[in-house]
Amino acid sequence: MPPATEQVVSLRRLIEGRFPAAPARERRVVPTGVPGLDACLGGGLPAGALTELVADVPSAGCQSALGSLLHATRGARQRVALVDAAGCFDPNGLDDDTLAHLVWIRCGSLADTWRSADLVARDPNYAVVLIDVRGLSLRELQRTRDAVWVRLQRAAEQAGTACIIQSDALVVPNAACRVVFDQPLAADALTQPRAELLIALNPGLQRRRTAYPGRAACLEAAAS
Amino acid sequence: MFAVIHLPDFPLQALLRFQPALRHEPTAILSGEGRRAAVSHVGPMGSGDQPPGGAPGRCALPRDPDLCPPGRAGLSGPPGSEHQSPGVTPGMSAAQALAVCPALQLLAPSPDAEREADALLLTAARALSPTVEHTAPGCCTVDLTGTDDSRGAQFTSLRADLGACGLDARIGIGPTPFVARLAALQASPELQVTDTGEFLAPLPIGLLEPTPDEERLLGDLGLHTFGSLTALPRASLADRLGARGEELYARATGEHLRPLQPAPLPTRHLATRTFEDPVEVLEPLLFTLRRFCERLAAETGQLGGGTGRLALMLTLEDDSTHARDFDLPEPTADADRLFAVIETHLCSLHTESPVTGLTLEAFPARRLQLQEGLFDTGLCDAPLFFATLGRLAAVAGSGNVGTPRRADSHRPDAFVLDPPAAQVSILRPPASPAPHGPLLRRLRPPARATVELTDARPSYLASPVATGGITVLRRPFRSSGDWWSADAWTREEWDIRVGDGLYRLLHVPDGWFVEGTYD
Repeated sequence: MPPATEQVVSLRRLIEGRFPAAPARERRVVPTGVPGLDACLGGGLPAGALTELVADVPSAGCQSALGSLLHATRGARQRVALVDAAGCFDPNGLDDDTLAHLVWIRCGSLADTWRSADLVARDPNYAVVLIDVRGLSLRELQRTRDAVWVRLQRAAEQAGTACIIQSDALVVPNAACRVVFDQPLAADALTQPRAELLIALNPGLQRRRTAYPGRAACLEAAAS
Repeated sequence: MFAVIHLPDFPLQALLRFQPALRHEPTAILSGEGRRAAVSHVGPMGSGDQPPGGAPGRCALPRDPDLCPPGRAGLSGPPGSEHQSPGVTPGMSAAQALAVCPALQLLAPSPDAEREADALLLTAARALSPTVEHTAPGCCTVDLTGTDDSRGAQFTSLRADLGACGLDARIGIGPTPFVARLAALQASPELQVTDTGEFLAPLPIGLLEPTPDEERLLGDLGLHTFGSLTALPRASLADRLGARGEELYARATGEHLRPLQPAPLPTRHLATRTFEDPVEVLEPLLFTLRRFCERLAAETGQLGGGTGRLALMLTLEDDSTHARDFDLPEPTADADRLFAVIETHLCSLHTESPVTGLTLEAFPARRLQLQEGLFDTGLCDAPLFFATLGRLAAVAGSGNVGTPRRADSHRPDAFVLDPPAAQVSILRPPASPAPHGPLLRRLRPPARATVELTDARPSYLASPVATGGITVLRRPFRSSGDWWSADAWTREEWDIRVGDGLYRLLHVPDGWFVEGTYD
């Protein structure tokens, strides 16, 4: 653990020990229905913040996790917008009824993707905004201006939207949480019930900003 | 009690409402044609810090329809309201006005703009009382009988509403329409007459609107103010001037009371404007539509429901038109929301030729009376939701935004996009067996691949997605359909593993493709 991080962790522990009754900053979360993902995010996707889901290998279960999120939000009576940069979403994999709350935006370019994401992130009707930039050129993604990310972050904060960016590599500099799906699915996953498959998913938390519950533990987890 | 709401320099105010850039310029209205054209209204002489009408060049009093004999122009206002500084004054020819003030912007009166401002004035006045008379252009009289006594806040609110729409109003309150009208002329910005005699006594006799002969006669008699007239015995005046003398006396004492002629409620909520020059850019259109939305929202809002549908028609220079109807998700009387709907549409619209005119009609609707389901998925801001959908359609294309649903076809990847619903019913328990396997991330279009076969089974894959030895996980799934039509299809799917990835390999008559990744 770097010395600076150690000092911050010890300082936070000291403050929490001195003032145990101090109100922690409460954050609304959106459960995904994937036990491993919810556990590492502290209950679910943080509302009003950016979360980056990185699919490190082609078949790590990231898309199935998003399918589970669609089902969970449908049950929780929330609206979801999916901004699909490459048009990779397959609605035939899910029931029509599960998708009744979804607004799918199929974009033709990265510029249209950011414009669409900016619009839906500002609309408080959506509890979750999924931005899928997988399949796009990494070079093109890395050329995205910082202002785009900051603007997206501000929009999500103001509307209280859980904003998720699904990517193939680390591209979001200001993500509040970053989760990496780096374990490939087993060969028998194709015949496995999806519920069991989701239980078996074990993504790794790479970053979680300390403004969320369990601050000291988060820092420790991130540092380790 | 009566209130008169007066818009000083009405033609100029109405015009500047649509041309705010001229508010800080010296402006004047040039009326008449040819050699008879003359300045009729003068705006602030470039002072820039006064609202339109705040420093009128010469206050033109709108004529009371049944008081003033026909064929006579409007009367001059009281001396205090006249433009004292040398400069452009009403009555000057265009050449004279430009000689005095070379920077003067001479504008032609706009009947469209005046009609809009009048409609807005009447709409605002109806917030005070249902009995509103359209007394003259830019002037209306309101019968306050039976209304709430706490009117001060209402008048302030009314002026603020009109001010937000670019109109500066003066309000006079008095026991009769005539006194209220005189008070409106003296108001800055509001004046309530409490002592009628004291208020009327110093006013010039010309404000009684006598005929020229009567005015000359009264002047010869040394009667120059209302007070000097009312000091005479009433019977003597009637003996000298007859019934007309009696009427002038009644006006001078503030006793003259006439019945109001209430303006009918509009049956259509329509706003129209024809541009002097064809418009090629969006901003002037949007500005005009913004003004239209303000008035139409106020009008339909007074009916209790708001606007449920908008109809926009653009007239183009090549004599063609562009028409579009907008069905709103729910009735609204919010001008911002009405404007947002039109703005979204116009931002993505390209016309073949410039716009020469536009018409916007609002259709009033009752507010929705519906009981939402306790467990339904609703919207916290329905207008914003549908406005966002409109903007998304403008960005991504209307065919690329919606709620996906499986199409009634066995063709793989067949789906339709439905317009998102305002209400989504509760999630039903799944009727089909529990799903198996991960979801597929489709490649649209599928990536062409080169496949090496061993014993009629794929053994090696070379594609932009993955390259390497193939482990076949599931036997091929063959399907075909639409064989009765020219759009027939047949395919063979293989679920394979290459490296760490699980893929769907597709074999069609055209060759091999990677259709997607199981993820």
